Amino acid sequence: MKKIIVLAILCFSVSALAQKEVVFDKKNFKDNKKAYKEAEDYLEEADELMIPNPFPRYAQALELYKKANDFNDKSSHVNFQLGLCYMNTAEKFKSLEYFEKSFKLNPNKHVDIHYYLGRGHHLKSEWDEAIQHYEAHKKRLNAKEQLQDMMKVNKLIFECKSGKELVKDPTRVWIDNMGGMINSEYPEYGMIMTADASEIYFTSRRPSTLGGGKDLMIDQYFEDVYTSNKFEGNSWIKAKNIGDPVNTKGHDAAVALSPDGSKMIVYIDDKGDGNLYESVREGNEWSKPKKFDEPINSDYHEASAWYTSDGKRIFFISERPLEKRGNPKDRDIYVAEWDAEEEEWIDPQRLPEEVNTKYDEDGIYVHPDGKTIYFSSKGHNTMGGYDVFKSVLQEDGSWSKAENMGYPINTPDDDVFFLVAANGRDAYMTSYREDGFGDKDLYKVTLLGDEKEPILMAEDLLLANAEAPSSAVVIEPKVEVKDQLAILKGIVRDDKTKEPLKANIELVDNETNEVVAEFTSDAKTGRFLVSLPGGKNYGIAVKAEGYLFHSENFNVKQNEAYKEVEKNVDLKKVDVGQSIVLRNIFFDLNKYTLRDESEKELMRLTKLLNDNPSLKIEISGHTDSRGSAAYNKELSKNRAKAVVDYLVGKGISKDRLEYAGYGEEQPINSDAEISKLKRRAEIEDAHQENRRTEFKILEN
Amino acid sequence: MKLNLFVMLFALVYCINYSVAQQDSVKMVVAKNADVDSSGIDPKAQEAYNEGISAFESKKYDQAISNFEKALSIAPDFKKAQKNLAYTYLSAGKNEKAAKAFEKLTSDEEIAHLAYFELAVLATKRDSLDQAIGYYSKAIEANPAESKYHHQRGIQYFKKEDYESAVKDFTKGLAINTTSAEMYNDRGSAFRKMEKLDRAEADYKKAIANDPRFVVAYNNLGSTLREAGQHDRAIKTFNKAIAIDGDFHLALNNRGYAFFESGDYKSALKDFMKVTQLEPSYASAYNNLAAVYLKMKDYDKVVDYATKAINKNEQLGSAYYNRAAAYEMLRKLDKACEDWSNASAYGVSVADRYYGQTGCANLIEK
Repeated sequence: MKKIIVLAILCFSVSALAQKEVVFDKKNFKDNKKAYKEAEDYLEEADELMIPNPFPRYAQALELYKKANDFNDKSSHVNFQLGLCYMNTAEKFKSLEYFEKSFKLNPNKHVDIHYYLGRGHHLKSEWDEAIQHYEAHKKRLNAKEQLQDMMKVNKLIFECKSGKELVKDPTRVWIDNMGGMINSEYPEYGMIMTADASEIYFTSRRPSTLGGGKDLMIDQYFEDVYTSNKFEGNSWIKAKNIGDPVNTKGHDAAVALSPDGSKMIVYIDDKGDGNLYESVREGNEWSKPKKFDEPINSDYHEASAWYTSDGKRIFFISERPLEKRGNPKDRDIYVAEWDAEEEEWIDPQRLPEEVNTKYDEDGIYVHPDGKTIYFSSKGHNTMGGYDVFKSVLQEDGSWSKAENMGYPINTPDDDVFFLVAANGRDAYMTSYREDGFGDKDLYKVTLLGDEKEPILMAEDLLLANAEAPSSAVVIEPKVEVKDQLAILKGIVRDDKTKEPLKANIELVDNETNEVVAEFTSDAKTGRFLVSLPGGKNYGIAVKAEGYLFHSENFNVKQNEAYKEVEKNVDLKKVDVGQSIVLRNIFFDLNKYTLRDESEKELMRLTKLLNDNPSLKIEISGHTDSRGSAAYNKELSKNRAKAVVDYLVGKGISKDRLEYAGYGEEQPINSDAEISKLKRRAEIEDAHQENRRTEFKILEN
Repeated sequence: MKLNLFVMLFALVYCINYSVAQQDSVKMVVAKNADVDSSGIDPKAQEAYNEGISAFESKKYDQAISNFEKALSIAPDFKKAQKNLAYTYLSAGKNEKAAKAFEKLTSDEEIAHLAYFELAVLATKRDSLDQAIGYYSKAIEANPAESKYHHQRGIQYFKKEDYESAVKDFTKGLAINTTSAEMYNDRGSAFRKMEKLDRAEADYKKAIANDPRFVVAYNNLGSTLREAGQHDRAIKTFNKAIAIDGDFHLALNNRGYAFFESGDYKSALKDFMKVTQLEPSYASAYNNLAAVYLKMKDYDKVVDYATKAINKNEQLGSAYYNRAAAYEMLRKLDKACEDWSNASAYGVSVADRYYGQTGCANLIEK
């Protein structure tokens, strides 16, 4: 259904655009008889050249048709013939334009017009249009009677489909004209080279051909072998004709070069037989080519050939039949071994179907790696004519499936003579391109390989913290700088005899009122020794049986590395008239209320009275001289009474207790003595000493 | 009553002296309040120590070191001073002295694990992974209940590419500290390196569950998914990381990569461009811009961005590679060869092959 629609559109467009044909008939050119006559002559001559004899002479006919067409461009015939000529000469792409015009002028003039329109589009890689015309052409064929034609057009449709696929994924190449030192306005093709591609030979049809003759059949110079090299620097030197004996006055074409450039294989037509010859380099000269013996040459056509890099095998193209004396076959690739002992090529083998097809293979080239062959084939998935393929000899001796080298190396036209240098990147091919020097030129193909995938950078913090962990810097805090422990030492003795006494000693932290040490002095020596923190005020109480207790306060200063405090205590016996100062009885300023820290001293006093029930004592209060005498007397009396009251409260009989207030009457330090003191602290200490509570034994 | 050694010693010495001098014996009595100063350390040492701390707090480390050293010269067994001196050395960057100081502290059972930890940290800074592992092992022996030590030893194993041992340590650490998002993340990464992507994914998810704002774990999860070819999921995960921290350039860069791999070159370019704005010195983002343009066959831009990348990190092999590929297509083969050579030198092994294939040796040497 789709095809019908396509054809309908095709026919509609043709009829819509149809122009009126003007055939070459003198009736149509009555006004210009002379010019017509001239044009008609061109036409007749051109038509004659198109008769195969044995081949149509397209190039010559083309020029004449052009002249006829200049006179009358509305001839369907002339346009068609122009299309045919272009199709069979260098500028193939131009053919479509003339076939289309011929068709427009007269769609029914040529029965095969859709075939040629298909070919024209095919050559221009216009796959869908080509297929449409091929399909249209098929409809005009009788499948039974024109089976070969049917098969031929089916093959072309297959080629278009292959082409359509191949161009979707172009081979990454640069194709560069080899330049004016190699190419010319004349055809260059069939390049061969040494393995390092430093020396090349190629075939060209130039005026400099040996003898300067032309092949009149095709109106082109005879083929000759030319050479160039880039031995010095990176540029090719101007190509030159290698002269005789390789080149002759006829067609001479080089088809292969040994990897080291010491031998060349030359193709010689041999009147249609087509044989391979070998020339050997002697110094800078080539020897006269010598024909290969059988089995390389045969009664059939041999064309291209190539040596392996080790020189032990030769690949060549031959049309020989599979059986002896059979009909010529299509061109296939064969390989023969070199018998070093017999010094001859032996055992030619036809390469398998992975390489050879039922269509022609040609243009064999063996890569210097010795296992990769490049060849051209009209079979496999060619996109038209010969395409270049590659196959690799596997380790098991088999060949890999032929791989199309892809677009743009291959085109819908013939693509032959493809060489790849040892580096695998530089290749050479023959091509006709509009940007060339004219006709076929030699091109360098840079095989870029697969597209180079970009490299992106991703970065993760795989470890949440890959750095060295933070040091756990934990600085110990400051310490409170304490005094060195102080040492309190001393001797307890009898006040009168000075004999050592074993006494109980109590040490009180006056701040906390806590007893911080209880111990006895040594019985023999009366010594005692105690370590205690500095920076405090201590109360010391010394008691011995039969003696009045002794109490005293002292400070151990702070911030001294080491401190010794010596307290020698002389205890008084419990005798009438003895008196002691109760230094650890404290009152608030100007008051007679006993302070809590007096408790320990009062308890000691209580215990003394309890231990000595016959004791009768007087408690006396004393003040310093500051304040009025009367006030001081009253205050000291009340303070003495407070002590007595305490003792009574503790169960001591009132009868045993007397009290008196002496105010400032009995100072320890007289005002005269105090007045001599200069330092305030000393003055204060002297007054402090005068403020005291005493007791005296009245009876025992 | 606790009596410290110093007091006892002092008493003993004093007693001996005293008794010898006086030809008799007297017992030293110690007042009950004598343990108020339990240090028994010479106040001068203590004062120097305190001055050391003041200096440390003012970051005057040299002065602090001098003070602590003075304290120790007076009282060599002053533990706190020994410890502070070690940490001060560390803070002052005097790592060798710090290491020696911490070695001394390892004899103190109470703080041995801390000292081993610091020694391990110092070894890590020296990139001595084996030593670090050794010290962490001792720290673990001294204090097996500290998950940090297992975690850190695991990290060292990870760096040594011994991922199995790393996983074992992370697992032990997680048994002690079951909510450590970082440790789940790190174990996930170890699994990822072991190509156990399912387990990696599971651990990254646990890390996120324990710390829903842990962008590093989101990023790692995204990259894991990207590597697994799950581009859509990867992009969604990166989106979450970026939603939490729009300036997290690694997640943006990785999302760009995921966009690139999914064929969305426009979004990839946008992300990489954003990264260059956030982190103008981040060479990888410029390289990635070059890479996208290489794919888009805009070779001039490839050269431009790859050059920027190289200017920021002259050892970025991939940037040389990408620029070489662009130079080749611009048919500047001498430059391409030079870049392939550099790319190969900086770790891009495929560049070496291209260098050979292009026949660079001939090009440059001629």
